[in-house]
Amino acid sequence: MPLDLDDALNHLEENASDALPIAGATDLLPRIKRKQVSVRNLVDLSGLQELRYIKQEGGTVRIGALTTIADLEAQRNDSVWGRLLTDVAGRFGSPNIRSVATVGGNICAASSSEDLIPVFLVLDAKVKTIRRTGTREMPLQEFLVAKRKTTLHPDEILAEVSFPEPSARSACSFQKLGMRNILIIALVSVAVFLEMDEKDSKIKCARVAFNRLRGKIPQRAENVEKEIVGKELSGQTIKSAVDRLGDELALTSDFRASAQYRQEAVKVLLRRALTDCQQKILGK
Amino acid sequence: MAKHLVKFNVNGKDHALVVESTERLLDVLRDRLNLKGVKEGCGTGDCGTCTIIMDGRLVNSCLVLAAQARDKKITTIEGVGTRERLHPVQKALMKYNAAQCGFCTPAMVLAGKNLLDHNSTPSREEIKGAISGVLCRCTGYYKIVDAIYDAAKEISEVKS
Repeated sequence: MPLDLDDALNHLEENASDALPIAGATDLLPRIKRKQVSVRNLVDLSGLQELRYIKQEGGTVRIGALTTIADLEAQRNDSVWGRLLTDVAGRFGSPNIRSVATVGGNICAASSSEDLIPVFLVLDAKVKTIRRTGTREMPLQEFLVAKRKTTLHPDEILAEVSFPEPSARSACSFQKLGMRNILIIALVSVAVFLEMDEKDSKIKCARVAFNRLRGKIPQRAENVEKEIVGKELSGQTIKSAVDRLGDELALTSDFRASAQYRQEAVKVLLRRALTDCQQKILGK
Repeated sequence: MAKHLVKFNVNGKDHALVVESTERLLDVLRDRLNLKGVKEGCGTGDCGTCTIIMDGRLVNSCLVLAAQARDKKITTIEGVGTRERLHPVQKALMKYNAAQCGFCTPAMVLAGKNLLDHNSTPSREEIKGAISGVLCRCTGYYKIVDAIYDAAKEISEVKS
């Protein structure tokens, strides 16, 4: 149990062969119980208060990896990103889990059940990692390799997520479909970020990400994004985006839902998300 | 397996224990401190019957390592009310017949108490949100929500 960041990094460097950094441990403990992971040398980062922050600096929002989901829910930043994060955090797991689960843990768990990943993907987030020998910064997309696999080195920790502050001409939406409202792993989820041009008439920038698209990791749907950029934010555009989505999908079945069900459900969610953004932009 | 000396406070009493790296707080509370009001339902964070209050926040003790509880202040159901002097949430749950099998009741009391500690005038929606991490398979929640709503009124009347 390291006392500060230096201590943690030293410990990880010395024990890189079998060390496993943990924070809220809400993902790890069920996996130990199900014998899906063997326990290694656990390095508990949950006490590192220096990595627990949400701040805005020169047009960039920076969130420390040890920020809890409850911290995200409680921040009441009245902005496009602030409202989005409060909304997502308020539907994350249960209050009991939000108390200890962290932003960094959610990203490093790297699976389709992590609600924050599609959200940070559409916010165009970068991640910063630290180890004794230096820091790295890379787009979140590059950090995620495959289900439960990231580019994090064994002696490295995720320190921060940052993203450019969205302009006032933008809107975001996160839609998640599960069997109930709380404590549910999304069957499918989608996050959308739209930014309008100066005259609020055409879509200047669009980012769309799903919790799964091809394979079991959150990804951006680039064809859908290309389809709608430069167009008016109308019902017709929303329809063409939903039609285009079919080309990108290669969803799989599991015990939670069949591929066919997911295939139809994602289209509905995308339409809801785009319509939600449309209402937010028209309503402001 | 590494061992750690951990100190924490449970229901007002300080404890110092040597725990193993992977020992869950749930097991330490139940088996070593004999606090059997902390229940294990699923052990994976879904049911919330192992709920405790740790530093003013609800947590699932099955998802916390005992070593992570160092220096924390913990409240379990054994630390809420006494037989002679029940907590308003406990009294209200009895009044509304809001317990059937009783397995989730300790967790429901703690969820209600923790909400009222932070917000003495919650709406029904806020109560639903506060107990949303605790599953009850008997009552359908209505009576529990009514009871906590009633307890909130009682607490604010006593205060005013």
